[in-house]
Amino acid sequence: MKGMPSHGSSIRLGCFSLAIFLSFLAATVAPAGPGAWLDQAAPAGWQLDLRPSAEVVGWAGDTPTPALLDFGEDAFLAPRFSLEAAVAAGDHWFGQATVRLDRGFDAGESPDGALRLDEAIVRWRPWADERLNVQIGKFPTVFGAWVGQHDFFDDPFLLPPLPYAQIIGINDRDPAALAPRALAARAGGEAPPVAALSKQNWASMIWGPSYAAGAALFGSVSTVDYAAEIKNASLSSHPDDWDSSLHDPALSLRLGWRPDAAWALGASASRGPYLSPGVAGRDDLLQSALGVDVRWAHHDWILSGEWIASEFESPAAGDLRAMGWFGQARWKAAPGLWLAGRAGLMTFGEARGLGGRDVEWTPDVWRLEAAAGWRLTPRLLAKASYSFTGSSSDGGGPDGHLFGLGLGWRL
Amino acid sequence: MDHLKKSVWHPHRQDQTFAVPLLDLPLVRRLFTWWILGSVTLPAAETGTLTGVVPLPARRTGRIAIEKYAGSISGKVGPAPPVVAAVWIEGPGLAAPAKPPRVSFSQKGYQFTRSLLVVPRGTVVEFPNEDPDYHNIFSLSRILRFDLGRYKKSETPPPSATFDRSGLVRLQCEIHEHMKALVRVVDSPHFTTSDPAGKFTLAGVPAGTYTLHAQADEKTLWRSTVTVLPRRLTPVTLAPASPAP
Repeated sequence: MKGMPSHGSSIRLGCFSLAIFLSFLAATVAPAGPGAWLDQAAPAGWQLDLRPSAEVVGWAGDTPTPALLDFGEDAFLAPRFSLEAAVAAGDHWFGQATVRLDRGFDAGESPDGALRLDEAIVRWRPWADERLNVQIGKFPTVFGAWVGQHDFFDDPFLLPPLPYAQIIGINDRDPAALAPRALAARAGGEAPPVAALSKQNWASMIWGPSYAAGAALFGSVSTVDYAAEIKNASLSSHPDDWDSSLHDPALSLRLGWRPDAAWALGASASRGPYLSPGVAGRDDLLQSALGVDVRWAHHDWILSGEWIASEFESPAAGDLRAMGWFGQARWKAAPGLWLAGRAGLMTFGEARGLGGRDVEWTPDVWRLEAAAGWRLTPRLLAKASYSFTGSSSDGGGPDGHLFGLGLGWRL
Repeated sequence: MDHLKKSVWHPHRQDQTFAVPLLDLPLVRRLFTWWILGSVTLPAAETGTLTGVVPLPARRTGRIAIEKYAGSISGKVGPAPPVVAAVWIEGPGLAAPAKPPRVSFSQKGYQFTRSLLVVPRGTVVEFPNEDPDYHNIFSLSRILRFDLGRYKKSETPPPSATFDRSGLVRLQCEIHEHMKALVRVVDSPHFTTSDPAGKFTLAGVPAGTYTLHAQADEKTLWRSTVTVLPRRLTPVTLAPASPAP
C-alpha cells in the first residue's frame, strides 16, 4: 500500500494542516507574541506553553537504507511538523503532549503522511524539587542516557545511535521466523537477509526513544538519579505496538550517579515481551537488556557512550544474544557551530540451527558517523551528517553510505 | 568645593574612586548621614538627578521550568527574576569609560540572578555558576556571539565575555532552556536599571541636555530628551521609540 493515497491519509493531512494553522495562529495571535496570549489564557497559578516546530531532513544514499529508515529510493525528503503543548499547575502538576505530522516515525514508513501523538504525560511531583516524580502516559524509556537528548535540537546527529536504530533478526510479528530452519536459511543465504525485508516486521535492539505507554517513578536525590517504568511494550518493540494495552508489561530501571557536573554514569535494566500484542506466545518470550552509560563534558567537549547487552528468548533456537555499544564526541568549534563523530558496533551470538548446529542469527554490524550542526539563530538549526554502515554479511547486509541534511525551526 | 566636584561618585561608574580628606570632619559627617539615609550620590554642584517610571511590559512566564526528560536538574528551580528596564543617557561628550569594570552575572537556582544587566561598552562580564549542575551560557545576538561551553560551580576564574559593542544581547543556557536574560550594553557612563515596578533614579548626571533611553527587551524602547539641572531632581516622562540595535 506504500505510496498509494487513501482517504485516511487525506484526513491525516487535513489534521496536519489544522495543526500547522493552529501553531502559527498561536505564534501570531497576540501582538506581544504567543507567550503573552498563553499567559492571559492560563488560570492563576498555571502556566501554559505551546511550541510548534518544523524540521526537514533530506536523505540520500545506498539502498537498502540503514538504521530504521524505511524508503526504497536513493533520496528521500522527510519533513516533520510538531506541536508541543505543556501545562504546569503550580509546582506539583505538569502535563505535556507532542503531536507530530510527518512521513513516518522513521522516515519513509508513511510516505503519504501520518499524524501521531508521540508523547502525552501527566506528572505529579509531591515536592517542588526533583526528588520524586510520578508520571503516567506515553513517554520515552528511562533505559540508557541517549533518550534525554533525542530531540532534533538536542542531538548532534540525525540518526539515533546504532543500538537504538538498527534492524536485527527478531521478527516480532511471526515467531516462526525465529525457528531453527528459518535461522539456518537466512544464515545460509537461502532466504533473504533481514536488511532486505520490510522493517515493519523486525525489531531493533532498542527502537529509538521507545515512546511506549505506561507509568514511571523517577527523581534525583543529591548526586543519585533513579527511574523505574512499567510499560506496554519492550524496548525493541515497533512503534505500532506502543499504543497497545498494558496486558503483558515490560519493566525498565535505571540508576544514575553524577559525582560531579562533568560526569554522569548510569546502569539500566529491562525485561518484557517483545512479540507484538496478539501474537501467540507473547507472554512466554521476553527481551532482557542490561546497559551502562557514561558521559563526560567540559567546556567545548561532550563525550558519551553506552554499552548494551540484550537477550531474546526464542521458541526453539535458544536465547538469541546481542551486544552493542557506541561512543560519540561533540566539539564546539565556534559559537553555534559544532562537529561530532560517533562509532558503534553490534555483535550477535549464535543460535541453534537445524540439527542443533550453531548459526549466526544476525550478521555483526558497525557504523561510523560524522556530523556538523550550525545554530544560525536560537530558533534555527542546520545539521548535516554522513554515516557508513558495514556488516559481516557477504551480501544483502545493511552496508552503505548515507548522507543527511536537516533544517529545523522551533518557536 | 573643588574637592567635592572631583570626588563625585557615580554608583554606576565602577571605575571611579572616591577620595575622602581624612581630616575633613564635616564632610565625614555628611557622608555618614548620606550613607544612613541610603543615598549613594553626593549632591555636587554641577550634577542633578533624573527620576521616572518605565511602563514595563507585562511579564511573560516563558518556558515551563520543568525538565521534560530527567538528567539536567538536581536541585530546585527558583523563580524567574522580575522584568526590569535598562535606563541610560546619551549626549555629546558622553562615552563608556575608557577602563570599564568587570561585572559578575551569576546563575543560581537554575535561573539568571536578574533578568537584565546594563553595562558600559567594553565591560567584561563573568558568569559564575552557583548550581550543582552545568550551565552553558551563550548568545547568538547580532552584536555579540559567544558560547561559554559547559562550566561548573567551582571554576575559577568563572568564564567571561567582553561586551564591546553597544546594543542588546540576549543570553540563554543551552542546557536549561527556560533560562533567559538580557545584557544592555551602553555607550555611556551614566546608566541604571529600574526596579520591578519600573521606577528609576539616575543620579550624578552632569548638568546639561541629553537623550534618556529606557529598554526592557527588543521590542520595548522609550526615549526622551531631558535637561538636567544642577542639584535638582528632574522627573522624566518617557515616550515609546523604535527599537534600536
